[in-house]
Amino acid sequence: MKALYLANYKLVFLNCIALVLFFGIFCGALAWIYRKSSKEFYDYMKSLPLED
Amino acid sequence: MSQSKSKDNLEHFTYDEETPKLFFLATIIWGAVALLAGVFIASQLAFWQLNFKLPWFTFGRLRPLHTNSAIFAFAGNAIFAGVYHSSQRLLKTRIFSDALSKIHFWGWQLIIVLAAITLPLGITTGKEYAELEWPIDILIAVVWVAFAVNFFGMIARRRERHLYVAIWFYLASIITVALLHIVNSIALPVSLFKSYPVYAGVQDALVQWWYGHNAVAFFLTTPYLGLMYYYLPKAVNRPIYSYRLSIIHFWALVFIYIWTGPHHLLHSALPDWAQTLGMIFSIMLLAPSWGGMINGLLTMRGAWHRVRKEPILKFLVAAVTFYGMSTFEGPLLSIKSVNALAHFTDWIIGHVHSGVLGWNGFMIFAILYYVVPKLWKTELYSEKLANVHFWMAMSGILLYIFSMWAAGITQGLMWRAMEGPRLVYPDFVETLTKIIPLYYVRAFGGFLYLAGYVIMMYNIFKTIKASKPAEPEVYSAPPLGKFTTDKQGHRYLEGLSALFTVLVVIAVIVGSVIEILPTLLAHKYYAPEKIENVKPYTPLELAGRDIYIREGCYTCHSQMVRTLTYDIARYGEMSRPEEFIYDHPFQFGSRRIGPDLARVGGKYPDSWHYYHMYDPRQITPGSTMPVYPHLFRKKIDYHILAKKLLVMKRMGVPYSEASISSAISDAQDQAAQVEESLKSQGVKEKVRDKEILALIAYLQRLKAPAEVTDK
Ligand code: HEC
Repeated sequence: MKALYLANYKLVFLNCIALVLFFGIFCGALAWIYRKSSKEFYDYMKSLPLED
Repeated sequence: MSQSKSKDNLEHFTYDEETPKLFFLATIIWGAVALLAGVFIASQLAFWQLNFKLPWFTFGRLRPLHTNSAIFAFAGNAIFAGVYHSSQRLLKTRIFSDALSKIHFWGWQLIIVLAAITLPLGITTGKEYAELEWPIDILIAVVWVAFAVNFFGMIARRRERHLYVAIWFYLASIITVALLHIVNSIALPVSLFKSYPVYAGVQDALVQWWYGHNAVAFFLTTPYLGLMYYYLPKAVNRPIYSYRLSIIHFWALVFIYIWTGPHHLLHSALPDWAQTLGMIFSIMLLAPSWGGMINGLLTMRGAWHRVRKEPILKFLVAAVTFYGMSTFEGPLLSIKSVNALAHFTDWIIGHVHSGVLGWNGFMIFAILYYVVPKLWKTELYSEKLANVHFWMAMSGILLYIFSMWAAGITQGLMWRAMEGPRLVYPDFVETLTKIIPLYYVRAFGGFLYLAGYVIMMYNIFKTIKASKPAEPEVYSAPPLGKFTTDKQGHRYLEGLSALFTVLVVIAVIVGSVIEILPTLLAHKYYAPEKIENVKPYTPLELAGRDIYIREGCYTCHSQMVRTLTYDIARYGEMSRPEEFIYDHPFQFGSRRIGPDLARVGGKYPDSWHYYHMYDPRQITPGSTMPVYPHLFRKKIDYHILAKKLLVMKRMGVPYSEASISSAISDAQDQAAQVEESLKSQGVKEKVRDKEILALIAYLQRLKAPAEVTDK
């Protein structure tokens, strides 16, 4: 059964697309979010629930 | 007056406290119903006598009532309460529309009441967690839109430019749940109380579990994470440990969760690559989930000593820990080899309860203990009782989870035990009686949890009773100004709530489309030489199938012989995707409290089923299956059959015009044949036109396609 599926499997490009898409976005986002310059802003965001 | 402006450019406004109050009260009441139903059905599995002889009290009909009330009534009302309460404060604005709030609140309660009436009556679509029939589905969509408008209205009218991370979680949940509900509920009605989904078989299964798992994700997880990011810092009185981590947590969850549905269909007739995709994404999910858990727990830094005394913090810490535990267990269970053991067993039941009782339940309790005194402007009646509640609930959960682990692994191992080509425990009921003692433990654990809950109800009732009416508080804030910092990074993105929403939609849709792709390509996986053997159900079989759905047989029986040796050894030829092409809806099931039925046709004579349905223990001593005497009294509804065939034909099932017009007489003829065969096997009672005949016809039809012969 499994062999049958594997033999018929012609969508390998999907795996590649998924991988590149996912990993690329992940690394980009990580770099973006962890930029040093944004510390002040994140401190402000953190404090939002504690107002009122 | 809800709003005014003063000279210093500050706007003065009040919050709507009534709507969150109502939703919190509804949460408390429905929670009791959900837990009571849970303890009751758990007891039914330990003591079959509790099914009584009443159709609406059988396990198959009450189990959907339990799951629906726990998810949509208890957890649902709590979401609305928390979202309305926290969003007003985070966005510094009143709920958008009082009228919509009323529609939302009363509409949702109406839905729950309708569910509580229709499910025990057997009015169900037969799709897990989406059992409600089409008129209620439409109502759900309408009420959800009211909620969405109210929420986005708040965002539009906000006085705080930046959207705190909790708001993103709410926003993603609202959008995704709408999408899931609509796509999964598309059905053609036969009557006011009956419809068939447009999807069939494997396709229906995939759509259903794409929905089902994301109901866990976007109903029971993301909204609760939003609540965690608001109420945890509030209760501890310090900011969340890492705001950066919360951003990653958010985007990773929104993106990954949507792909994981196929882990409910491992080793099934679903194409292998889709299974693997589901498995891999499920494992990836561990990382962001634990990131979130760690973020929550580290927020407690410096406050741990308070946990000992304060029940709210106890509940919060335990809730976040259970979040971590169940998001560890989930990926584990998605590994194909682990799943082969755990699927269809009580292990899964233990898993979902560590999520719902531990994560959602404890989160709700923490919020209730925190918010009720605040909203009603008073003090909590008794901290001591709240601590008692905590320990009872905790012991209850632990008993529940440990007994279900033990039951699941025991039964799973017994099912798979083989000596050479032979099963070591070929008798299914043997694997059942072994775990019954664990069902006593489970029922007791559930009872403890419920008892703790009742204590909480009392505590909260006393708290509210001691409150005095107070003037609504007036808050002030400047109107929405420019960005507080320059345009860059995520800060820019979340200022633009519309763009933010679009990105969430894209993240969700990318996963959905790729995941649902195999259903669009489903025909590629059908073996053409076998598909010829697949025949549509005869009208009587269809009537029987609808009885099977009505009685909730799928809550105890699967119809899916997996690709595993021991499944094949026990049940027969493995299920293939093309077998199910006329199954609207699919009935693969998710739990084998009884044996798989995909190959039960022809295994026993008609009279076996006749006596078994009347009193299972007469045939199989030790069985826990309910009795179904009403099937021997109620007559088959022949008249609706032509309509049913017509609807099926519209969805592509190849019924000819002739077979539709002769549906009624065909069904009557086939019923007469079953009646004859019962008579010849010694059945003496009068069974003419009784529902049991249709059910037997359906059960006898459940076999590998090649073996199905024309009636
Ligand atoms: C509470 C769970 C439960 C529900 C609900 C339930 N069953 Fe069962 N069923 C069992 C158990 C346990 C067994 C195994 C013991 C036995 O043979 O009775 C079983 C056995 C069977 C068998 C025999 C299978 C075999 O291969 O020996 C059939 C057929 C069956 N059930 C049909 C039904 C139908 C039809 C319904 C719905 C009307 C139903 N069951 C509802 C628990 C359940």
